[in-house]
Amino acid sequence: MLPTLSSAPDFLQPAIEFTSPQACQPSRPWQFARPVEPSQKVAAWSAGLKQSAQRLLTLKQGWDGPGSSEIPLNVVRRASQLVADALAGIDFAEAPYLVPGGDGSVQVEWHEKHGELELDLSADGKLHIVGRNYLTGAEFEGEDEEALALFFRWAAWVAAFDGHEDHEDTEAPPAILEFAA
Amino acid sequence: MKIMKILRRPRQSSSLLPDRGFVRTLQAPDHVVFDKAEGRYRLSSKAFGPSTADRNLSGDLEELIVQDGLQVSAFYPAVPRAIGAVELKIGAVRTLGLEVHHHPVEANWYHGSISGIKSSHKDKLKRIAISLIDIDQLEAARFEREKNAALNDNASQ
Repeated sequence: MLPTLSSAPDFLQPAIEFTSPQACQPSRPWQFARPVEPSQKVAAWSAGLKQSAQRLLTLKQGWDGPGSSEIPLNVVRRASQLVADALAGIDFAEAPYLVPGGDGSVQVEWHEKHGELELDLSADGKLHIVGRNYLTGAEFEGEDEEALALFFRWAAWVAAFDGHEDHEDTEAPPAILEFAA
Repeated sequence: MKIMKILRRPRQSSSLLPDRGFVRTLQAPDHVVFDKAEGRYRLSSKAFGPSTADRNLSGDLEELIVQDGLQVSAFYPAVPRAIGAVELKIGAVRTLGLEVHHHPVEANWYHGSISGIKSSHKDKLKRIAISLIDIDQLEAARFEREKNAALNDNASQ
């Protein structure tokens, strides 16, 4: 049986403690030994996300056969914003695929070596998520608010850049391990 | 096809044989994703989500194509950016509580649709999909490169 938020409230706890940009500001400027430069990898996922979003907006009516529709701007914006929010403060992350649906929906997808995550945003605002942790075999899914909570809990973990040294230290959100395995 | 649509009657949904297939042709780059765990391009579950504004999934009906003496993949070359094709057995689709309809359109008398699809069905449909034409990995990679190059060009202009 798949877990739900009602049966596992700790799913709502953040997987990784994020530090807000304001909190990173030094109380005294000389505390920084060297200038802080923008991370190239942040630019990479951000640019990849932007490219995918732009691509969705180029699709015309009928792109996926008879009756298929364009992807509304508000759905593309929402998908992009959710990803940007979920990866805020994460230096080493892969951009997700933004996969279009002929009904005007968008699916945010990562398929990494350690796991995968798919968040479907329908044109009418509904959400559905499916995720898998390949390290444990755990699977989960959820809808709407539960989907949103799961997305924010798992996105940073699944998007963690494989080649980065910190990746080894990036632990999966623990609650799922015993629960969904 | 236009004349066929005028002259021929659509098949009743219930008369479609359960052991015949609903053929979904996959298009690149929109239906495939690169899976790092498998090290290859594979289907996105989104390829089995609703493909129309009225939330049906489009495809072709194997039974009708074969009845007319054609190969199941006869229309594959006509699909733009085709990258592979899969088949869903109609009986297996029905066990998920979904209905398969013959839904001819002017451009394709063999066109069918699956109705009643919700987000939670996508993954289940992907799991029962049988490959008819394997995803062309080189073509998938080429389409993705072209997609990225086109977007880079637009960004630099």
